[in-house]
Amino acid sequence: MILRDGISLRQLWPRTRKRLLVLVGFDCAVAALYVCLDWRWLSFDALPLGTLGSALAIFLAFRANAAYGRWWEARQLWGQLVNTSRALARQALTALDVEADDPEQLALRNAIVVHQVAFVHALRCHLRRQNPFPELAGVLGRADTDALRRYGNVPNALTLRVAEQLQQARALGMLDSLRWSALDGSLTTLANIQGACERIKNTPLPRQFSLLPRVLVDAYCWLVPLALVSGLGLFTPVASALISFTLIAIDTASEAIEEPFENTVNDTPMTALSRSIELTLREMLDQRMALPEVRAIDGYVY
Amino acid sequence: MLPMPRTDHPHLIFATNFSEACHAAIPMVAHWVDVLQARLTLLHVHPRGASQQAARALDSFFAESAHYPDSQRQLLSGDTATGIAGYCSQHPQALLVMPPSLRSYLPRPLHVSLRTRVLRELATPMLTMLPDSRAIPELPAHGGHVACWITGDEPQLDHVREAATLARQRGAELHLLFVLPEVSEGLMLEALYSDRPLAEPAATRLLDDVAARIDADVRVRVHLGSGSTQASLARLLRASRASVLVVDRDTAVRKRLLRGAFSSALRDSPCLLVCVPSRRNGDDGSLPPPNARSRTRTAPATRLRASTASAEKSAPAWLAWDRGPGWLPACG
Repeated sequence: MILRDGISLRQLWPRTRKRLLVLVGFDCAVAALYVCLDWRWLSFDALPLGTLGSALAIFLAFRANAAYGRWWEARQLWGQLVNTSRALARQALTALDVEADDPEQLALRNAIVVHQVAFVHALRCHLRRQNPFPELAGVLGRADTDALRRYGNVPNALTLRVAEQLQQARALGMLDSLRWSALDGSLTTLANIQGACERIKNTPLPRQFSLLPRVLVDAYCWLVPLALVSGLGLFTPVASALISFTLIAIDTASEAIEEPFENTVNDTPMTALSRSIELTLREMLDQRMALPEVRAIDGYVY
Repeated sequence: MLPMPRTDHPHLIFATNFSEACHAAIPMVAHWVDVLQARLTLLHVHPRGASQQAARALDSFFAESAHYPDSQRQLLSGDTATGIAGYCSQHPQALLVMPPSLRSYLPRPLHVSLRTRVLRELATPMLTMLPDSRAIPELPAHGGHVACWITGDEPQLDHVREAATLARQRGAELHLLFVLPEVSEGLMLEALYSDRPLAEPAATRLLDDVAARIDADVRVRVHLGSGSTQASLARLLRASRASVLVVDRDTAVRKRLLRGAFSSALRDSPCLLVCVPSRRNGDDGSLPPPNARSRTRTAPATRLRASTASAEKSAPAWLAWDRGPGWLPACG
C-alpha cells in the first residue's frame, strides 16, 4: 500500500512509456506533415473531442471504480480478519475452563491461539503464492509444520486443526456445547474471509471491463492530434502528449490496483497486518516477543 | 509436499535495498530457504550517517523471516558493492541472492548496475534473475532440471561443479548446454584467440568429456545448439525445462566499452541464474587476455579436474560438498 503523497513518475513511466512514445511519435508526424508539407486533410476540426472525452470518462470511471472496489474489499476482509482473530483468541482464553495446575489443558488453550497466528501468516502466503513453511516452522515448530506439508490449502488445514483442538477441549471437559458453538462460529467467519480473499485472487476483473477502456483510450489519443493540429500547429505534440499521458495514467493506475494480493506496492498491507495480529495475540497470551512492527519503507508498506 | 531431507545447511545472503524488485523476490527466497533448508541473512548496506533509518527499514523488510529457524539481519555502512562483496567474502560457503533493479527505461549512458559491480568483486556464487522476468520459476522440492551453459571460454569450470552439486542435492537432471557459433569469416580469427570448439564434433567431445566426469548418480543430458547465441540458448533452455541456469561469472558479465553489463545472450532466459565466479587464488575477477590463455591452453577436462582440486583445497561450495569417489576421477 502506498502511503506517501505524490505520484512517482519513476513508477508510472515504465508502465506507460510504450503507449506514450508511440503516440508522441504519431503526434510529431501529424504536426510536421501538416505544417511542413501542408497536408491539410490531416486536420479534423469537426471531431467532437469533448463529447467523446465525456463518454470515455464514464468508461474510465467505471473501470477505476470496479478496480477500487476489489482493492477496498480486500482491505475490509483483512480488517475483519484482525477483528475475528482477536475475538477467537479472547474466546479461547476466556471461554475454555482450564485447571491452573493442568499443563495439558493450558498448552491446548495456548495452542489454539498460536494456531490462529499461524493461520494469518499462512493465509498471507497462500494469497501471495509464497512458501509458508519456513515461517510456520518458527511459529508452530518443525514437527507440526511438516505435518501440514501434505495439504495444498494450508490455511484451511489450520482451521481444521483448530477445530480438532476444540473437539479435544470438549472431550477434556473444558468446553460445553454452547461455547463450542460460539468458537466454531468464529472459525466459520475465518473460513468465509479466506474464501472471499480467494475469490478476489482467482477471479479477475471481467476482461471486457479492462479491455474496452484501454481500446477507447488509445483510439481517443490517436484522434487528439488530428483535432488539434489546425489550431496548434507545431505545438500539437505538447498538448496531445499531456492529454494522452493523463488518460493513460488513469487507465494504468486502475489496472495496478485490480489485484490486491500480488506482492506489489499496491497490495493490501498483509505483512504489516499479520505482524500486528501476531503482536496482539501474543500479548493476550502474555508471550511478548521481540518482534518489531512492520513500518512503511520509503512510503510503501507491504 | 513431503518433508525435506535435512542436509548440510547452505547459507543464503539476500542483499536488499528495499526496492519493489526485492519485495517481488521474497517468495522465491522463501521457497529456496525451504527447499534447501538454508540459513538466511538479510543484508543491507547503507550510506554513512543513515543507520537509524536503515535499521528501521531492515526490520520491516521481509518481516516474516524473523520466524525463520535460522535467519539474521545484517546492517553495514559504506560503499554498497564493496560492502556486499566484503561480507560475502567472509562467508565463502554462502550464495548471494540479488534481484535486478526495476528497469527505468530511461537512457543512462555509462551506467553500471550495482548487481554487475557486485558480481565483478564477488567470490561466492550469486543467484539472480533477469529484469524482465514476469514469472520467477520455482525450484521444485525434488527433481526438476538444472541447466549449465558451457561456452568453452571459461577459465575454469567451477560452474559445472556447482550445477552438478545442485542437481545431485535436488535429485534433478543436469543439462549441459553448448551453443556453436554462427559460421562466418570471423570464426577463423576467433580460432586463433579462443579455446572453444567451433564445430559439432569438437563440442560434442567437450561436453561428453565433462559429462563423463560428473558423478554417476547425477543424470546428465547434453544439448547442442547453433546459430544466434541468445535465441539458441533460449531454445535449449525451453527444451531442457530447466528452472535454474548455472553460468560462469565471466560469461554472465560481458565487458563493454568502459563498463561491464549482463550478457545479452541471457536476455531471453526463462530461468533463475546462478553466476559462479572461478575460485582461483589471487583472482581479480577478470579474464586473462586471449594470448595469455593460449599459452596455458589445457584440455577442458584437465581444467575441470584442476579447478575442482583447487576449489576443494580453498573454499567449499555454498551447497553440500560433493566429495564422492565418482566425482572427477583421475584422468588417464
